[in-house]
Order: sequence, then C-alpha cells, then structure tokens
Amino acid sequence: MADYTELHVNSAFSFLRGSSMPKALMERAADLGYERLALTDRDGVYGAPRFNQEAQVKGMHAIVGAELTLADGRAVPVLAASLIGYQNLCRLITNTQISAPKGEARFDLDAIAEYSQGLIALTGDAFEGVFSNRPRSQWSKHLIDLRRAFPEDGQLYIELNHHCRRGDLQRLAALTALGRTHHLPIVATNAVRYATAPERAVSDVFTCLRHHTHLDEAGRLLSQNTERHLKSPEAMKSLFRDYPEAIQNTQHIADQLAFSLENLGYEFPRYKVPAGESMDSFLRKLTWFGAEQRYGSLTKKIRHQLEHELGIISRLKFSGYFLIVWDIVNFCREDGIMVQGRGSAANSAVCYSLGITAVDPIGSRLLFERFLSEGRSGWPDIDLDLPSGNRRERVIQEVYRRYGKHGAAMTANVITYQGRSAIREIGKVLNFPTALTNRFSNLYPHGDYKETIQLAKQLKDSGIEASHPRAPALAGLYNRIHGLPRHLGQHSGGMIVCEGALSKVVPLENASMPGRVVAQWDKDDCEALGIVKVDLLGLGMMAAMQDAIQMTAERGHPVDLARIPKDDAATFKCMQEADTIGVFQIESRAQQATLPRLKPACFYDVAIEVAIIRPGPIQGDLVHPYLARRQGRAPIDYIDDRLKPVLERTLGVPLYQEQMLQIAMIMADFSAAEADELRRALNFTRDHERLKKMQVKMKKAMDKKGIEAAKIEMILKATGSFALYGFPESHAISFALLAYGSTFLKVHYPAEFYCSLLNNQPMGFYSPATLIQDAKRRHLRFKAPCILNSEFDCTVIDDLTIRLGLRWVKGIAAQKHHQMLTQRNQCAFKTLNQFRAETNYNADELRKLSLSGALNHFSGDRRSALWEVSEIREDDLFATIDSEAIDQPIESMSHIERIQADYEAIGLTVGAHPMRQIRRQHPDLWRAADLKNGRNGQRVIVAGAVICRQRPGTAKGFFFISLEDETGIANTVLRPDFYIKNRLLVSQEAFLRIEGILQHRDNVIHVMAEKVSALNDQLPAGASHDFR
Amino acid sequence: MYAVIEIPIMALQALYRLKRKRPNGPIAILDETGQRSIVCEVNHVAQGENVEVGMCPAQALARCGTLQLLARSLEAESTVERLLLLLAKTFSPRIEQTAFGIVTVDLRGIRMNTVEASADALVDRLKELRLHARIGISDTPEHARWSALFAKPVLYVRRLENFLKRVPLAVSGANEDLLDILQGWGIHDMAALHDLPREEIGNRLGQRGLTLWDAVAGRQPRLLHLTETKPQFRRSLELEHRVESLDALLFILKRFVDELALELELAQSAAYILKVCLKLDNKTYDTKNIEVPEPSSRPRTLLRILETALGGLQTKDAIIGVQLHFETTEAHGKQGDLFSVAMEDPAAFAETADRIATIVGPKQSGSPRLRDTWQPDAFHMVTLESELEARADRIEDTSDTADSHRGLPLSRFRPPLAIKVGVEQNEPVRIDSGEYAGTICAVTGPWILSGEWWEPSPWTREEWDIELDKGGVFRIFRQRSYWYLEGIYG
Repeated sequence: MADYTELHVNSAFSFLRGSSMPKALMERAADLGYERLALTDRDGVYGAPRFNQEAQVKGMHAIVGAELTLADGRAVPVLAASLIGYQNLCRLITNTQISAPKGEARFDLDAIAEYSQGLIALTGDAFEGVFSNRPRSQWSKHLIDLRRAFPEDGQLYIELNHHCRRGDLQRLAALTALGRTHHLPIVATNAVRYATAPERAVSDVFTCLRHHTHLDEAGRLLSQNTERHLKSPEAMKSLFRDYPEAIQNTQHIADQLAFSLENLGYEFPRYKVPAGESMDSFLRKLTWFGAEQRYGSLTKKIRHQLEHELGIISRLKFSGYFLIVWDIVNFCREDGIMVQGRGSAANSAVCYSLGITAVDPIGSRLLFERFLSEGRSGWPDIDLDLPSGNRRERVIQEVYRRYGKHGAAMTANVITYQGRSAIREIGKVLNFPTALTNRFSNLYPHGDYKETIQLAKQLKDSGIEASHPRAPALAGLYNRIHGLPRHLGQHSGGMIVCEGALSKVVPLENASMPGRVVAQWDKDDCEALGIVKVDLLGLGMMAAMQDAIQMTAERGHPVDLARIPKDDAATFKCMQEADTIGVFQIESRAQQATLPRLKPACFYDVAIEVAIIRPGPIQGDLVHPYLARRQGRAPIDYIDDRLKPVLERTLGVPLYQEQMLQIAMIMADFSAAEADELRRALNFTRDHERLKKMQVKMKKAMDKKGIEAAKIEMILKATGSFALYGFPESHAISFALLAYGSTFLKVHYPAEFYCSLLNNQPMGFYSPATLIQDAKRRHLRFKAPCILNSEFDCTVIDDLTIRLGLRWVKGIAAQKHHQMLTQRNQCAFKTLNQFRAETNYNADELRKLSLSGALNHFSGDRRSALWEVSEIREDDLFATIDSEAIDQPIESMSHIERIQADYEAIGLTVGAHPMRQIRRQHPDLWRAADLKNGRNGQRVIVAGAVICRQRPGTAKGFFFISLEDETGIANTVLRPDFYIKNRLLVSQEAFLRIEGILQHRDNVIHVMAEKVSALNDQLPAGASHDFR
Repeated sequence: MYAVIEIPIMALQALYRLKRKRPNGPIAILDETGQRSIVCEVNHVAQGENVEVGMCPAQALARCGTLQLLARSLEAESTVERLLLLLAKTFSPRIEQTAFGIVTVDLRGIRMNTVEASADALVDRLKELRLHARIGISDTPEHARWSALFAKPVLYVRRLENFLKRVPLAVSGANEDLLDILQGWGIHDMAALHDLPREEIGNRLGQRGLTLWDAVAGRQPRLLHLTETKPQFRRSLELEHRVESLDALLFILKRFVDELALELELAQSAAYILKVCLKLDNKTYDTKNIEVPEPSSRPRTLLRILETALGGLQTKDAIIGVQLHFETTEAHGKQGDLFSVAMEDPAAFAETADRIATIVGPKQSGSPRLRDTWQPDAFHMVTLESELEARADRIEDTSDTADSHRGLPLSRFRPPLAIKVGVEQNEPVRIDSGEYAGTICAVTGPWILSGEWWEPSPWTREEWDIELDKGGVFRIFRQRSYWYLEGIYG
C-alpha cells in the first residue's frame, strides 16, 4: 500500500487555478502508485464525478472535497469523511453560492461551523491558505478562528507544503511548532495544481487571467518553480523526511474518508398518491385508464405488454418517476402547452398510455428493453419536447415551484476553451497586441479548422510568424488549453430533481439567467451517478405548430394533429420533391438531397429519413447502401441470417440504436444488462474508451461463437459509427411525427404555417427572408408592417395573405408597440399627427417605422413618411390637427431603394428577390429553378444570396453553400482544397457567383464548384445561417 | 477666400513615405485601435478589387486574396499632420486643423495673384517630403474643402454650384445621425440638399440642418478654429519590421532629419544636440546624445554628424523603435541654468556617458534596476537619462515577511565562481575545483527557481547550501548544467 495520499488537489475545474483535467490527475496518480487521491476544487465539486469515474476504472478511491474561499480571499481545503459530511459540504456550498453573485462566493466561518460535521479541514497551502502572506505573529489568531469552525478532535490539520522554495524549511518548522502549541496535527500536501510539471505553464497563464495581467507584468504573481505537480509518494516522503508524522497523517486522514460518490444518497422524489394508493397501484390505474383511451380495445398483446412493463417498472421502483413525468405532462396539457415525449420513452406502452409519448410502440414494434430492462443500472430517459420560449420557461418554473430552489436544478454545461477563445486568452497573457488576436478571431470566425489548416498557418495569416519569439509558446499553450473548462453554463433543458433537498446531493448555484438554478454537474455526470434527469427541451417547431394549429381554429378550420391522415398523398409528394423548407428536421440541405432518392411514401419512411441523415449513419457509410437497396440497385443483405428479423425494416442496414442492441444480444449473446451498458457507451460521447471496451467484449463473444471475421468486422464498424450519434428508432418516430405534421401544415395550411414560423424566429435551418421567398413560390403574398393593420406578431389575412407583424421592425422595443396597440384599440388613428401625439415612439423609431413602410397609410410612401415624421412637432393643443399639406420636395424611393429600405428596416423584403434586379445584367447565369433542366455534367454558372454555409464534420472537409435567387435555391458543393483556397471569399461574401459542373441524379441537383467570385452588385442581403 | 490643403489617403501616405520603395499591389490600412480591426484606407489597386473602407480584415481578404494589410502608424500620421500644419503656415498664419489630413487656411487679406503660385509651391514642397496633396481654393472654408476633392493638384473655384452635384453628402462633415436622415430622404449630394427649401430644413433638422444648408449655399463663412503649432523637434517611430542593419536605421533617421530640419527652418532655430534613442527587441533602450559642434539646421550637416556618430553602432538586439530629438538653440551657444546643481553641463555629461558606453559596450553602462521576477539578481539597465527622470519608480520588495529567509549573511562573489561539483544521488557531494575544493559534509536544498518559460530562453536555477568538511558554509547553484559558487555564509 502506498504510504502517502495527496489530499489537496485542484483540477481545471477550479476554473483559472488548476491546469489538469480530473481524469489526467487520476491517471497520473495511478501511474505513480497512489491508491487514493483527493480532489479539492475551488468552491465546488465540479470535477468530482469525472474524477470518481476514472478512479473506478483504475480501481482507486476518489476522495471528495473542495477548497472554500473565505471572506478574506484565502482558501481552506475540506474533505468529506462521510455521507453526512458530503451532504453538509453540498449544502454549505449551495447556500453560499446561491446567496452571492455568480463567481463571487465567499464562505463565512460561522456558516462553515454550521455544516462542518463530517468534514475534515486543512489550513490551506502556502500561497492562498490561512497563513499565507501573514506575519507569524498573527498565525495563532487565525488558527483559533478557523478552529471554531472545525472544533472536533481530528477535524483540523495544519497543512505543510514543501515546494523547494528557499524559506520552506523555516515555514515547516514554524507551522509544526504552531501545531504543537495548539495541539493540532500536521499533514503534508503538495497543494497540487497540475498532473505533470509541463502543465505549470497553463497554471501561470491562468494566474495572469485571474489577475487581469500578462506575463511580462505578472512578476512574482507567477509560480516560483514547477513543483506543484503530482509527486510520487516516495518523492513526498523524501521531501518531508524530517516530518514523518505529516506523511503518516495523510494516511490517517484518508482512512477516515470513507465517503465516495457511489453512495450519494440520491433518491428520486416520491409522488404523493391519493389515500389508499401506493405509487405502483396508482400508476397501474392511470396506465390502464389511459390505455383504454389510447387503444380503444385492449388486445391480448397490448395487455401482455402493459403487464410486462408495469411489472418491470414496479420491480425497479420507478413508479414514482413515471408518475412525476406524467404530472409534468398533465400540467402542460392543463396549461395549454403542447408536449411530446421523445427518446427511448417512446418505446414504452406505459408512456404511450399515460400520454407522455405520442407513438404507439406496440403498433410500431419498438423494443421496450431499449428503454427499460431488469438489468439496467441507471434511470430511464424520458425527455419531453416543449414549445420553445415562454411556454417551456413556464414548465421549468413550475418544476422549481414544486420542488423548491434547493430541490430542482438545471444540469450544467461545461464550456471549454476552443479555438478563438483559447487564442484570445493566451494572446492576452503572452502580451500579443490585441489586434493580432482579433485578427485571428476575424479570419477564423467559424472555428479553428484544425482538420485542414495547421495552427502555424492560421497564426501566420493572423500576423504571428513562426519566427516570433513567443509563437512557440502560443502554439504550445493552445494545445494544452484547448478543451479545458472555461466556465459553467447551463444545459439547454436537462433538469434534475430529488426527494428532499437536491442541494444535499450536488451543490447548486445561480445561473446567469435570472430565476434559474444550476447544478455543478453536467448531464453525463448526473447519469453516471444515477441522478435522474428530465429533459425539458424547447423546440421552435413545436411552438410554431402549436401557434399554427391555434390559428387554424381561430380561422374556423381547426386541425387536430393527432387526427390528421397519416397517408396524405400531397404531404408525401411535398417530401419527395424535397420542397421542405421550413418543416421539421427534413429541411436541411443534406435531408433535401436524400428525400428525392428515398421518396418517403409512408410514415415509417419519414422516420427513416429523419434517422438516416445523422453523423453516425453518414460516417458509417450506411446511407448509400440503404438507398441503393431501396431503389433495387443492390441486394438486401442482413449481415447474418439471424439478424433478418432485426434488420428487415431497414433493408439490412442498422440505422437505429435498438437494432444495434438487438444485434449485440443475438450475435454476441449480450444480456439485457450488457445491452444496456452498450447503450450507455453509445450515448456517452465524452469518452470513447467506454465504447471501445464494449466492442472488445462483443468481438470476444462473437469470436467465441465462431462468427465469421468479415461479419464481426461489419458489426463492429456499425457499432463504432453509432458512437458518432445515431438515433433510437423511437426517437426517430417521435421526430417523424413532427416532421410529418409540419409538412402537412405547410401543404394544407400554408398561411398559418409560414405565419407561425415567422412568429417563432429564430428557429430552423433557414432565415426568415428565405422562408418568405419560399412561401411566395407557393403563391402566398406578404404585406409589409402597417401601423393601422399589423399586430405585434404576423397575422393571417386570408388563405394566401400574411401581414407582417410590427415585431419585424428593427430597433424598436416590443413594449412601445404594445402600448401603441392598446392605444389603437381604444381609438383608431386617423392622421399621422394624431398617431404621433398619442403614441410614444421617438424620432428615431418613427423614422424606422417610416422606412419599413408602416406609415404609408398616412403618408402614401416611405419617403413622404420619412419627410413628415422628421418635422419637429411642438407640444401644443393643436398638435393633432393636420397642418396644411405642403408639396413634398423629395422623390419617392426607387424599387431597389425600397428593397434596401426593407432590409435595413425589417431585415428582409416582402417584395421581389434582390437577384431579380440584376438578372438582366448577368445573362450567363442559370436560375435555380432552371437547373432541373440541365443535364448531368453540364457546365453552369449560378449566383445568388448566400443563405446557408455548412461544413459538417461528417463531410470530410467538403463545404456546402446554398444560393438563393428569385426562383429557388441552388445547392453548391466545394471540394476541400477548393474551399481552403477560397475560404474567406465564400465565408464572407453575401452574394456569390459560382461556376461549376452540374450534378443531376435521382432528381437531386448540385453544382460542383470550380470557380467562385463575389457578385459585387451592391445588393441588400439578409443574414446567412452558417453551421459547422 | 480660403484654401484647403488635403492629403488624400493620409494613413497610407504616412506609411508609404517610410518605405524605401513605394509598395505595389493592393494595400489596405487597418485601424486596430478599437475593439475591432477595420479597414480605414485603401489604395486604388485595392479599390479596384472592391475592397472598401469599413470592412473587417476577413472581408477585405475575401475580396482580394493578395491584399497587403498594414497597420496604421499613428506616429507616422502625426508627423505628417505636423508637417502639413507647418507648411500651411507658410501660406498664412491663420490655419485650422479641420480634419484628419485636412488643413484650412484663411487667405483673407492675401493678394489672389500670389495665392495660386504659393499653392503650387506648397504642393511641390510636400512632394519633396513624399506627400501628395491637393489644394482647393474658394470663398468659404467648406467650398474650398469640396473644391479640393476635384483639385489636380490645385483648383480655384469661384462658383461652386456647378460642382455641388458631384460633391457627396458624406464629405459634408455632418454627423452620422444627420446624414442618415438626409439619406433617408434620398439626398445623396450637396446639390440635392441645396434644392430643399431652407425653411423646411429648419423645421425638420433645426439649427444643425440650417448650418449645413448655409454651408452648402456658401451663405456665410464660418469662423475657423485657429491652430497653434509649437515646435517639438522630436520624431519617433515604432517599427513594423525589426531593423538589423545600420543602413536601414540611417534611412529612417534621414527622414526624421529632413522633417526636423524643416521645423528648425520654420522656427528659425538650430540644433546643438541630437538625441537618438533606439528601442530594442529585448525591451531595453539604447540612447545616444550627439553634440553638434556648431548649431545647425542644415539637414545634410546634421545627417552627416549622425552617420559619423553611429558608425560603429552595435546593439544587443534588433531595433524595434527609433526616436530622434533635437535640442535647439537660437544662438550658437547655450547658457547654463544659473541655479542648476544637478548637472552643470548635460551635454558634456551625455557625451561622457556615451563614450563610456562605447568603451564598455552597450548595456554595460547606465543604472541597474531590479526586475520583478523570481530570478535572483535579475536586473535591467536603464539609461542615465531615464534614471534621472524616474527615480521614484522603484520596485519595492513585496515578499512575504513571514516566509522570508532569515539567516547568516551571504558574502557574494561578483560574478559567481564557476566550479565543478561532484553529484551523487542528485545531491552535491564535493567541490572538485578551485580554491574551495573539498568534500561536502552537510547540504540543504535544492531550492528550485525557474521562469520565463514563454521566452526563447527560459531559465532554471537550482540552489544548494553546503558545508565543507574543511569548514565554511557556502551557497552554490546549478544553471544550465554548470555549477557556480555564489557566496560564503557568515
């Protein structure tokens, strides 16, 4: 057994203090022969789950602790000895964090005293500890103060550090003497900040960032040497050879620290059932009742499935969980909020019966075991899709209301240093001129392009030559800092709740967003520790669909999404023609390129379409085999005959996670528990090691069964591709419901559909300008904002006409419009002067309204409105009386000026597309709509507004640009080398002209770019949607 | 009557004149003084490639892949501004620094028949300084300024009405807000503005609108904000590329001498000391004070003195900044300060210091200052001049009093003695060489120090305190695998 345990360690989760990840620290500790290691991050236990996880892998014990910042800025490490100690630590941190602004928590000694039971404290290190930078004469006083917070024997230790600094020996002697005087034991630590010595540089960089200085100015703020790395037990014993007691005490303390995160004491909240009911019986009652509503008559198969599921749920004691999710869904329904369960919950007939999900898993033959099985160790996932915006926030606030501020929290999202942020911070610290780092950010606006452009080249382009004396330091630090945590954000929708106080399980803190509390762990951490998470995810499309449905009802032709025909020919035709701009999921360029090939003809095809354009299937080269088999161009092959029942529906191509699990069960004889472990490995995107281990296990099992090597290889390749994000079948079906529903609305209720899309921006793949152009191609008309007729939101005038809402006029607060609308409802405005007198718009806002055309009703045209609103109005009694009309000395706007004014005032135009203005000047250009008449291989030139740029990680460096003109969208493809050559041109210009070879196959049209240039016609443009 | 002298694309011209060869190809000047870098000027080649002012570097490079992006030099621009003002003063004493690169001259009272000839001469003078200017002359300052837009290089316009349609509103000098309103009305040039009824402008834009309208109409010349120019006789430049040869340095100094000589001439002064201060890449300065035997304002004479004095110049590092400063006099001599006790003859002192520096080498003279670093005894030399100026700027020892080392005093060797040390199990066991050779019987350490890992040559030092069996307690240290005896305790 190692005879030293390091008890004071900061990881990179001490934000701007430690410079190693918890995993790296634990790995290094294992290499050095440690058996136990503590993690004491600053003011939290942010890194503890990852630390614990690596400890489990290495067979070590991860000691949980934290370093608490005291009121004077010094810090003391505390360690959790027991569950009570851990819970006290979490509550102490929560109370302090929640009562202070984000990042400014200071721990009061009285508060620490209240929660010190079960905690062991050290006096802190030589740099920021209780005695640091204090005269020795004051040490006793501060020790006595600290002792009051940790009064029990063996609860407080004097911390000794030896970092090979001159003066360390005197300090050790003085501290030991102090301990003797106060009858307190001493303990050695290395106050570790990094796993290995080279990481000291990052620690120094963080010191500079913390002190808002740079390396040339930091002086003695920087570390004196590189000794704060994790040292071997032997090295520590050698350093403290004159203080053997300090070494022995590390073991003595570690022996007392029995707590580990596996025994977290987490319990999901109990649902309060009516008198006489248990949670099991109540769930059963609700399920059978709901099943009768959903299915009508309950067949033997349905009854059997429900009994099977209820049995497992009861045995796993998950009834309360289902009831609580059901309760949230009920709240949504009662509050008129559209809700739909997604993810693997859709595999459950119980969820379907409870109304949590909308997919019938029995009818869809979905695998329940993907959702829940007896061998499962963690909680099942029930994710709820909600309309984004206020409606989702209402649900989140309701959860807070029910469980209290300390009972519910959003999971964290760890924001890490990435390309631009890393260069900006390092550049600042290395004292590079801001102009150079700004130039880097400016030249690489969409990331660091590490796949194709070497960092050195990027730096050179930014003005930092390789010969610059600090260029090597910059590059070296970049690689070290890239990926380290920068700060904690909140997950988009993951909420965790707990029976009793959640703040006893994980420390909570304020999120930047008012009214939100966030846990210190992210969703993977929570899952790894068995904390159940309910994802309350916001979908813009659900908000839009709910609004559209409401509009149809208000206009007298209500639509019930649950009852729309699932075989609507017009809806499928729209999909087959890839006319899907604006609809859910299947609107992207890649989806549109697949739709004409896949030709969805039934609802299940939509689910396949949703699932197939994912990184997993794309990188696993599964898309083309599926399409080829579907089109009869390739034979269907099931890898192995035993897999035919599993892969039949997807023509032998494994597209869904469920299929992957079933393959593992059939071919590698995986048990339900092992299959569940595989599922977790597939979902755990942070660490691919886990999946690799499962693959090794599968291979071994398949080898043992004598399965052919080629088949094993195919199965393992498919498994690997799923790690790159593949959909569960149930999830695909849930999304397909929305995709189908939104396409149905687009086809049959286009006015309501586009109107609601515009009211819920930003959302989706395309900009509002593109949505309007698309709607116009479906013969819809749009009217500009009008002060007399527009509401705040866009409104449907008739089946083919939409009036833009005042929300689209840029630069005016919503409040102003609402005040005006209230005024308008009381008394209609008859003249511009009356309007000006009775509303609160200032001169600038009036100009914006004039520019948008919203005042045309009064003034006739925009120029006249601009002229009239600029007249300085005296606040007199006659202000509302129109003055004598004067001839306008200014001219009306030209057509192109009106378009320019549209873009300036509302960011889009309801008039003709700007490309139409210049069409005649470019006779060599092909219109997007005409490309379908071109032949495959023909040379063409297209041009238009860049509405989308995409460089997906799955595309091996290819770059995609969508160019919009007055007739539609031309999709272009740039080869990686061509893209790199023209990177700035294609990523900066708003209008492009691209010459290339037309690729026209299976009704899918692309232009493979060979020449590109800017279209310098001074055309107004909206924003492009750019994705990585 | 007013004249406006304008240096178009001034930031670019200010940079051009520092180059031996006028750069070719598309060039854009970046203004990097704000949060965002933006293009503030472009040459005509870049303009032809549709690079526009206001673009960010990425947008500009997107338009033109071969575009050279140069950072603007505020120093170079301020020099040009200064030269422009000085030369404008030769026209008339009543001048106004109207805008960046634009000077307005009040010509009232000057005979018109001499004005155009003077303007041509001024343009020629600026050309000698490698600056291309254009001059507009008209009845009001504004009309003169707008005339300058069309001057090739001098234009006298009596009636501007014919030009107004060609004068864009953007050059009116009105603020952005006013321009936005006018452009919203479809007013893009001065003629269109002039066509609007004055009263309606007043009703809508108030006094600021009326002022602009009147300026366009040439109704009443505004009063100039007269600019005073005081001689400075100082030029400095932070260099974009490091200078590593005397030739390149002299090229820059020649420019400075030409400009300063012009200032001397206009101020009717003569230089008697030339101060050259070179900023080196290692963050130190190399300063030379050169006495002029006979005060002079002739550029050739001054340059020759500089060339002679700098003939044997060697610097430790490349030069990244140059400053030239003339001490001037009106007479041939200079009377000392009656009550000065610090230095009776600074010139002589400087010359002496300069000679010492020549003998002992650069960076070996001056005044040492401790650096704020963990590196023991690290210091840098400051020039005597800056030492005298900034005595108060000392670094205080802020080390932790509680932890500071107390012990025997250390008598130190200056410099430390190189020794050979026998090492066993990572600890020194004996000193093998020199006067202090012997077996080590007691040792504490190592005390490890390291730093400046971000520089090309980081340092590490490992200190040990040792006791020799023959007596004596010493401090030794190892640096770059060499051992040194630093001192003797006691």
